[in-house]
Order: sequence, then structure tokens, then C-alpha cells
Amino acid sequence: MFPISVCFPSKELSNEDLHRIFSDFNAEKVAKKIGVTSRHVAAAGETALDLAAGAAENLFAANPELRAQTDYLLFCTQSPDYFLPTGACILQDRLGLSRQIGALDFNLGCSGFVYGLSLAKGLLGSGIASGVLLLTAETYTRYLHPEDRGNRAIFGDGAAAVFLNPEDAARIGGFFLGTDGRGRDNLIVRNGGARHAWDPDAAGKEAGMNSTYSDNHLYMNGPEIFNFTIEAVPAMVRRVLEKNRLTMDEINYVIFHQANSFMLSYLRTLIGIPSDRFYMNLEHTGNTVSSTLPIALADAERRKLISAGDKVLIAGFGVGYSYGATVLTI
Amino acid sequence: MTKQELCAEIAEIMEIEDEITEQTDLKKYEEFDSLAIMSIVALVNSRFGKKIPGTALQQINTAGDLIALIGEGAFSD
Repeated sequence: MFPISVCFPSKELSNEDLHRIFSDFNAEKVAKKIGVTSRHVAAAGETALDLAAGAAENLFAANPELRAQTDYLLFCTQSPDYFLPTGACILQDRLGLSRQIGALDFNLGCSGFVYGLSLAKGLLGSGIASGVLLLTAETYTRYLHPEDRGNRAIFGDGAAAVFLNPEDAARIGGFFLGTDGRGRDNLIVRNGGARHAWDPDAAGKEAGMNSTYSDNHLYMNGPEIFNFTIEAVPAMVRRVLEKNRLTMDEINYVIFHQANSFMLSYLRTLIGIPSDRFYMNLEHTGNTVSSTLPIALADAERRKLISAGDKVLIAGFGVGYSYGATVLTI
Repeated sequence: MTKQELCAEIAEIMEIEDEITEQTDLKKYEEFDSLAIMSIVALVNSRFGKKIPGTALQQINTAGDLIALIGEGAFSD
């Protein structure tokens, strides 16, 4: 499999920490229901770009030749340092990459890694690039209202770096990609962009689970996102299998975006995926958005849950709505 | 599934000892949180093959509201 490195902020926030901050926070219930006991949280001044650079440096430390082999940089984040310039341009300089490279950001969340692979496959298969560095990084915790217990329990910050050459790209199968912008309001940071200015007087609103958000902060309608996944994910799995002329029996392992363990368990049962071929682990990371899939792939390889020759179905889904899946041959 | 069984399942999801009836105001319980609502969405989807739209979800106050959304005819009373 293509090399993967990850990077997390050093600060960790455990369920016990959350209970100390919010006395009504039921750590046991959260751990049982969503499968998270601790998550990493970016420090003040620590950005997604910093985490992406950390993941890339970890990748280069393990594979020094890849720095010079990189001729295209794709950076997936929804937590950019600036409106402009492009984060990938800053990363080119910071990582000491050649100036003879393409570099761009793309703004996607939970589907971002799959979309990044689709772009990388296109660039490598067409001969436009010969070595793609794909970085995913997110600091959603910075978007959370201080009183948002629910999302603080779910989301963690983190980044991942993968490097793909044309041989790696050939081991990425066909894609199913989906988009449904009707879901845009169900996971949104409304204010602060060009459409709605950041509002110093934005009022706190009730978000369920004794949580608060404002239009300056991240809002997630969890049950409605759950509804979307129930509808979209089983159909996506069916279509990506068809596209690759495979059946579920021929898939060695399935890795979904690690949203929360309740949702994952429900989707697994709904689709009929055996539990011994289904990855679920967000205990110490939480939902890291676009990085859950590469983090999971690296973990699955390290724990020998997947090995050379295996067919691994990966699927991302969420904010947008945006969703996508493919089959990797490890 | 009977309406009583649905009420019992809701109480189980919320992990409360109180008996839930069709008239019980669920919103007075702090256990009726987004995790509970997600579990109820899953329950309705798996037992009744139905999807509850998000706008309707926000207006559920009682088990009776949920039963009306699912449709009286779907129950075996």
C-alpha cells in the first residue's frame, strides 16, 4: 500500500476532562454510544496547515526520497489559514518541495480523502503528475462553541499524508462519487465567509444534548446527517461494487469514514457486512473528518487487519453533502 | 410491533426507569438528546423501513407524535 503518515496535536481531551468542564457530561454514555474516549485538540495558534506539515514531515522522515519525488501537492481542508493565499502554496515552501510542482487546496470534509484519491488517480493516470502528495487536515474543534458538549465529544483534530506514484494509482479501483447540496444546512459554519459576515453579537442557540452553538460556530444536525447516511451509504456501496465488478464476498475489508461508532454499527448491519471485516476505531482520535480514512488504513495495516493483495472498500460521507467510495488493492 | 412496545423501546433507548406512554412529554427528559433521537431514527428505519424527515424529527414531543409519523396502520394493536 502507498505510504501513510499521520500527525495529531499534542493536547488530548479525555471524557474525564470533558466531565470536569461540563459536570452534566456523561462520559460513560458517550464512550459507549459514539466510541470515543479521548480526542486530540489543536492548541491556540496551531492550524490544520501545521498538522498537515507535521504529517508530511513524518512521511518524509520515514521515506526521505519522496520529498524530491513530489510533483503535485493536494491539500484537503476546511480550516484554511487564510482566505488567500492557497494553503498548498505555503506548504510547498514550508516542506521544501520543488518549485516545479502543481499545488492546490480543495475544500471537502468527510469525503475528502476519497475525492483526493480520485484526483490523484486522474493526475497520475494522465501523466500530468508522477508523484502526488495528498494531505488531509482538520481542526474542527476550533469551530465549536465553548458550550457545545455534543460535538466536542465527537470531533478530534488531526492530519494525514499519503504519497502516490503511478503504480499506486493503478491499484486504486473505480470510484462512485456523489453530491447532494440540499444537505448544506445540516453541517455548516454559517458565518465568517463571504455570504454571512462573522457576527460579534451572534446569539447562542440550543443544539440538543444540552449543547449550544451560534451562527459563528459549527452546527451539525446529527439525526438528519444520520438519515442521509442511511439512504446514501448502502446505495453507494452497491454501486461501487458494481463499478469494480465485485461482490461484498470478494471484499476483504471495509473501512468507512469513522463518524461515530453508533452510526457505523448501524450501517454495517444495514448493509450486511460481517463485523470481522469491518473497521471501527475512533476511541483515541474521535472523528477527524477527512483524515479518518488514512488514519484507519495505517492502523489497519499496522494491526495486520489488511495485507498485500487484499481488496479494501473505503467510503467517505458527510458535510456538503458529499460522498464517495472506491476499492483499493493493498 | 405494538404501540406499547414502541414506547418501551423508547424508554430503553433513553435509559430511563419511567414508563413512557403515548402522551409522555419526551422533551422534559434530558435523556431525549440527539443520541437518543439518532437511535429512534435507526429503530424506525429497521423496524418499519421508514425514514423520518429532519423537520418532522424536530417536532416530536411524544411517542404519540412518532406513532403518527410512522402511521397508525403500521402497528399490530
